[in-house]
Amino acid sequence: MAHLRSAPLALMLSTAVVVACGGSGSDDAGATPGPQQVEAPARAGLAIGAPREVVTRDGLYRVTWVPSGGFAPVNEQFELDVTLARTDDARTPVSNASVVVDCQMPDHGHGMLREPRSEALGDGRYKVRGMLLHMGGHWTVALNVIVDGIASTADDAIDL
Amino acid sequence: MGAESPEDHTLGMRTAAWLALCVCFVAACGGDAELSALEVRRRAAALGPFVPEGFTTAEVGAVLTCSPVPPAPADPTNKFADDPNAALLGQHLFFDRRLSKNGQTACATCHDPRDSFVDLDPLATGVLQLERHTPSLWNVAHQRWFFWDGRADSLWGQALIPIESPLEHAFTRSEVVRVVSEDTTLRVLYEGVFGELPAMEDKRRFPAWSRPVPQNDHAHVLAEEHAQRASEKGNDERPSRSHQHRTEEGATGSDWIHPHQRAWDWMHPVDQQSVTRAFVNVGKALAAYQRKLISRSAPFDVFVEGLREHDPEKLAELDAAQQRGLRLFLGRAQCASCHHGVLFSDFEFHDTRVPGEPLTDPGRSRGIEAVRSYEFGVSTKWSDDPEGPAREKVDFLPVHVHAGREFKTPTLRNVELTPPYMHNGSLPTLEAVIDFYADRANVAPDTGGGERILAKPMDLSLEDRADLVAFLKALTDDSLDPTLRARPE
Repeated sequence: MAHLRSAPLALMLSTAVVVACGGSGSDDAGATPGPQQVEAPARAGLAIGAPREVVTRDGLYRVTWVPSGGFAPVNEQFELDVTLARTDDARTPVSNASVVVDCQMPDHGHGMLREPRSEALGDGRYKVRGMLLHMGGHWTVALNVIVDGIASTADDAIDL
Repeated sequence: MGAESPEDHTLGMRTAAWLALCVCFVAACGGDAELSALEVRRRAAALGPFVPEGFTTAEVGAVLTCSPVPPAPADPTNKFADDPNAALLGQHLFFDRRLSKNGQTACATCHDPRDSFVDLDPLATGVLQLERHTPSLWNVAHQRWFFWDGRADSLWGQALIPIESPLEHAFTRSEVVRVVSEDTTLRVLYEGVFGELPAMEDKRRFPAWSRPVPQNDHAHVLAEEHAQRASEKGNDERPSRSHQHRTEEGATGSDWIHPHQRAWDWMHPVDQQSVTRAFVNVGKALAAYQRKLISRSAPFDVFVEGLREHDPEKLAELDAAQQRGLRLFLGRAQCASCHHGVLFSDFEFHDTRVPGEPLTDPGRSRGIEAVRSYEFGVSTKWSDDPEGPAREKVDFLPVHVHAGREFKTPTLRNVELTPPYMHNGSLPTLEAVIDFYADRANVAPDTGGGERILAKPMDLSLEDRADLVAFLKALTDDSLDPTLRARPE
């Protein structure tokens, strides 16, 4: 239940990150606030500047993922940039996979209200469209990769 | 002089902070005291938001995501959304009772501007009683989905459903177009915006009371149930058969065709298209009007301005109880989990185990089915941007629908003015709503899809609950232009 107690705080803390960045995401960091920025509501979400890397449970694949634009917003549709490689030393790209992303809120007993879909871009790169994390709090992120009909899952989590 | 109260002390601290800020500004300008208000705001913003006593920086950050309400977002699916003449036509239509079977039901019948655009009844009543409560229209242009189950994906698409629903207006698209066509004011306004109307005076081409009648439509099923109950009560006055869409006494169900459908089938497909186009335009005009129903100047919004501008007078717009309520709202009471953003809504759907009938209402799961196949969806030919971004929210809807009776998170702006509460109007007051979430004493049976954070009672004292209600009342702004509250002169 630790997540349950910390969920509202997590929302606030991630929001504070945005406010510290000028109220409209990391792209505005350091900008001089102007009249338009003063009048805009702050944007809730989590800045994820660098790709996060996780290995599938079976140890076969490295999955890196990052929100397009480096920001995972609360309750706005967004996209993910995913790369998939084998766990060999050469990090051999895997380009023939299906990538299915499933995010859940264990504290709330539900997940996303969308089912994102992915598109292979070649060279082990994938674009996942249709992401929507409609609430702040703790989200698990399951990156399911299906290669030659066999599924593997890489697990991650973020606090929005 | 008596002893300084905590409130006095807090205000004193705020005033001191504000004075210090002003001194800094004046010094920075080389003694020029003629700073514009804009410059003061710019410099206050550069310092970061003010953090009132009792608040954390993180809490203030969360508050800043809830205000101000920005202008209504553009709607590319309705190219007339911001056309003032379309809005004027829409305002005429919103108050026009002729757009109903009984001649007594307008949009404004349930969305009564004298009662903050709702009807204050638990369940809405059009031509017949509905099974859900009239939703708020405040800031409706910001919504993502429409109706409690989100079965419409645009404001203009939403506006068309009640008109042909046998429970609400029980009207037809052909008669809507006829009313517009035969009224000089409406006709001039319509043709000035949308172009020529169909030749409705040719009643052979455009027979009365014609529309395509949907099969297995839930509103028609409910209308049939109304008719059945009236019949069982032995009413001498037989219920109208036009509510029904499949069955009729003395006929085999599958053979019977609704008279509206018969009339529709009589029309040439080109004329069907022209009538439907005009009907869609009526929806787009109604949407253009409803986009003007804005509430964005509540005491809470002034308070947030005060945070941004370090202005003690604006900060004083929320009293101590309301500020405590705000902190509870964001934190321990967990309201902000769903009620966040500028409308205090995530615009999505949750099962909070709301009590009251009907427990058979599946909410969002039926809404998802309906919105996918909706005749006037944002990706249909009737949309002005069928391939645009608006369709993405529908494209990515889940194939595997959640368990549970999920209903849309309502906005909390002007919530004080729009009782009773919940999708079925089952909770009469804000106090009852807070008690429901805190005590979990009268929850509906668990469907397995309920919000888990609400599984147990919350530890909220009577003072906490009163503070939460006090905060909710700080979201009231009913200062809409009076000329938008009535049919135009």
